[in-house]
Amino acid sequence: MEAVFFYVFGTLAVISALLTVTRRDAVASAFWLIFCFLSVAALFALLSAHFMAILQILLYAGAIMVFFLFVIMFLGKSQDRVKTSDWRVVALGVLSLIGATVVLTRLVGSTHAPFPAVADSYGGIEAVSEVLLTKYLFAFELTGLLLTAAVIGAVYLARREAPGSRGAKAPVVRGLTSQAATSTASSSAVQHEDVPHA
Amino acid sequence: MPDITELLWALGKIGFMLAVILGTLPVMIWAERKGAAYIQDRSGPNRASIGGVFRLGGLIHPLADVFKLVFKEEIVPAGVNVFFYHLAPIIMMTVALSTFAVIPFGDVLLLGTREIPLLVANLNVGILYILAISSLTVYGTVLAGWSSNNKFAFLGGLRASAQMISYEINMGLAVLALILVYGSVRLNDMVVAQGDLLWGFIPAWGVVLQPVGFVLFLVALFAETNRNPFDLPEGESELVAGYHLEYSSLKFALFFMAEYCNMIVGAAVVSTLYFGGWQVPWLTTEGLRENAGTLLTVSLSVGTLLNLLFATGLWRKFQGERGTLGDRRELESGILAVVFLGLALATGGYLLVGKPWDIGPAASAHFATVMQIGQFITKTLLFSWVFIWVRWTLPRFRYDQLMRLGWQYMLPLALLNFVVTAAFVLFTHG
Repeated sequence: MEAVFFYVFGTLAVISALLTVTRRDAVASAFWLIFCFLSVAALFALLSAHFMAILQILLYAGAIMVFFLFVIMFLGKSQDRVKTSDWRVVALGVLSLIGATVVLTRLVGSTHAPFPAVADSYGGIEAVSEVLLTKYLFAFELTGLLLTAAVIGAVYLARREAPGSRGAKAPVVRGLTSQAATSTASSSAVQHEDVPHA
Repeated sequence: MPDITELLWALGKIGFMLAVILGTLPVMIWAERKGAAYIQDRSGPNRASIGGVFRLGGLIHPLADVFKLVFKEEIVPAGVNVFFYHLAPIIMMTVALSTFAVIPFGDVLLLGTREIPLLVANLNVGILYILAISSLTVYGTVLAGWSSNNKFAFLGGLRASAQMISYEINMGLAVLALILVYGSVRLNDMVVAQGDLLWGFIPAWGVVLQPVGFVLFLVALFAETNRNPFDLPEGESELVAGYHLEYSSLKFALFFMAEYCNMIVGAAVVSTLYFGGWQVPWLTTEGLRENAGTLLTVSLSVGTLLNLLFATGLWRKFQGERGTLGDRRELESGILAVVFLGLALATGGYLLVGKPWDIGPAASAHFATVMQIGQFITKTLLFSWVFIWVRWTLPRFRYDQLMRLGWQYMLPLALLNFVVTAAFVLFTHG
């Protein structure tokens, strides 16, 4: 049963990854990348890493890719063509493919010994948090510091130059307000049944 | 490998959940139209009927809606991205329905020696599953908007993506504070914890322990479900119909249904997290089982009285209407009065003959389960009504107001709530 699921989701992941790099349209690429993330999340769940699977969906598929899409769609269609005929890109791709194959075959070849059985709670949220806050506490705190620095940097970059700025915290706000304001300006028409707030 | 009975039970629970959502759906659509009408001082839908007799106060209209949507011409505009255009409504509906898997709708069901937990999947990630799956809703809207090859639909999708990402953070922070309070991410643990009493008389519901978190969660939920006052992705006055502008017939119906499914699921999540879920206030599962005889007697008597009241009211309406309408519609209230009289006789008869005050232990356990499921459904319907009520009361936000509310007011408040809760939990439990 598990093997069937593994092959189904593994195949889906590979196919969607291929589609991600072959699609011409950047939006389609982004969508196939989301499919890829979801399939990988299913693989995590099969490895009884439920917390990882949920984080994969929540953060990568649910949050980061929404930002990606937002940016791609916002920039419009003119900039989304990627040049693929450059020989350096192709050479780099071939090299990394060879490298990955070598590493993966070595890794798979080195694990002949049977894995020890894991407890039922393995990979659950309690188990992961326990390890994060004891064994890997230092690395965990460092990551938190790094993220804080990134947030401060983002706020600094998105800050408005004019004094007495409002709405400078969210980078999303700045791009949309002017465009939204124009579209709401013509919104005096009353919705067909929405009489009470007209 | 689970044995076959367990598989059957799982399928049964999935079927029950789907029946609850899809059965509530037409009622919600009716409640929306009728509620809007009453809020606006109109009569609302009351024309569609079965056999010219039964109108049931407009409840036949959702049925007529279904026929209309099924038989409408299906138009696929030129220049759409065919694959994603057809995928978008499927994503919407799938996501809306799969969120329900982790919501508990009752305590364990006792069948002989078997104990069956009344939720579809007891995942150890619990509430995070709901957050993760509901964060995928946005792809339905964005895909629909982008693949439709229409600038209004595209703008709707764009708005949806920005809005969802902004309010998801607030929702996540509100839920994090709740996880701190209950010390668990499993929804069933949370509901069990909400069965306690504070100072002996207030139910320890989430809304009592986390009032600020509740308000934040509710506002974020309105934004996530794209309901008024945050329905900018489909703002009719600006974007014609937003992201589902180019959809017709059953594909539009899927978007329409997904919106109501999201509402029902959202209401179920709110009642589970903040209003005790399946917990009957002041009565634990043991309490329910011990007092099942008394409770059953009381509820049967109340039911008999209410049915009698309905029957007399409808009969008087029947008397008053006679000869005013001039066709078979006059018969409706008379027939309904007889039906309610029959119900009153049935409950009253059982009260007298069936000796409900000394039912056995097995029957008490089942009674407790039925009460809890009923409690869960009642709370869910109540919050679904809140969605409708708010929609027809508040005007729509402007886009910059929406963003300012989310990022400048709600986010700091949510962070503050989280820190205060963390400090409180640390000092009281540490």
